[in-house]
Amino acid sequence: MFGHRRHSQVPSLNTTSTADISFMLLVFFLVTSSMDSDKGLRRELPPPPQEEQQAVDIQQDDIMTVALSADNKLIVEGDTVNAYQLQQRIIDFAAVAPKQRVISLDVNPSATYDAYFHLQETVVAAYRRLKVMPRISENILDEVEEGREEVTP
Amino acid sequence: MRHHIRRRQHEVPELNMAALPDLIFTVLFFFMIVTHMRDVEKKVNYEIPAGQKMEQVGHQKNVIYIYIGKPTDGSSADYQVQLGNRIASVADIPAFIKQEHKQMSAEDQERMTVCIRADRGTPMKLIGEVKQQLRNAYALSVTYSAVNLSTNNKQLKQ
Repeated sequence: MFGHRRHSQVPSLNTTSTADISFMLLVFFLVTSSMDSDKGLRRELPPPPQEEQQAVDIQQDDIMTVALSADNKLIVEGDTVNAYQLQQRIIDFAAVAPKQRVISLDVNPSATYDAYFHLQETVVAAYRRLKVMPRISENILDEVEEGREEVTP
Repeated sequence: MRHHIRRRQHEVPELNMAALPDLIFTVLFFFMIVTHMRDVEKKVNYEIPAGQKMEQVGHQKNVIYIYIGKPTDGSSADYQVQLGNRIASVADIPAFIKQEHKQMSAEDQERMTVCIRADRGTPMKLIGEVKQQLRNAYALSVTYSAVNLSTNNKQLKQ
């Protein structure tokens, strides 16, 4: 009545291909995922204009107008400058009273984003050297759109 | 006087490969954790500007991307805005931001950032319109995406 008991051994699994399978998965993840960590220039935009918002009076002496022309030239009070000169001028201008003085950016709508980016970068770099918060008023569109932008240094 | 050199039959010992799958799995899990999948298909071509002192864009989950460039399929020679997986108009931005904002956790909602990845040649008129829409949507934290210029390349002083 008893079954014949044999000493049977459990056959070992062939795991040679596990390495190949996991290699394939690894390659798949390497290809489909992107490691590039994004970097950029961080800015705070002003909130949309409110109806009851009051215009702020700023003295003429406390405004420095920087214009970005259609052919991507930087113009400060009539002079064409490069980025390095602009940074120096902003530092000279804002160092006197950084809390009151405002940089006004007039950007031509047909200027390129690249030029605008470098302009922003220069302004931020100048204020970073002064270790104060920039006060920037910006006007890009043809319609007058005033908004003060503040960024952290 | 005769040297007797005994020759033994040497067998090459077999390498134990049992730990190899575990090793590769560890590397695999590492990559799975540190990377994120590309969930957006690129519909516009763009080349972002190069800057010098770039900050890290925050954690991936609280970043909303806006791509600006020329369409890859050549349907238009004008610069277009891509929101999520489709090419949209500037007027769609507030709705898009609102929808993305809803899907975030409360913590991420507070730290929400909009990352603008725009082509260098984009006219400022379009960028200005996008910024105006972002202000209307109260998405006030904005990052202009850029690549890092190597520090020994002193472009600023040229």
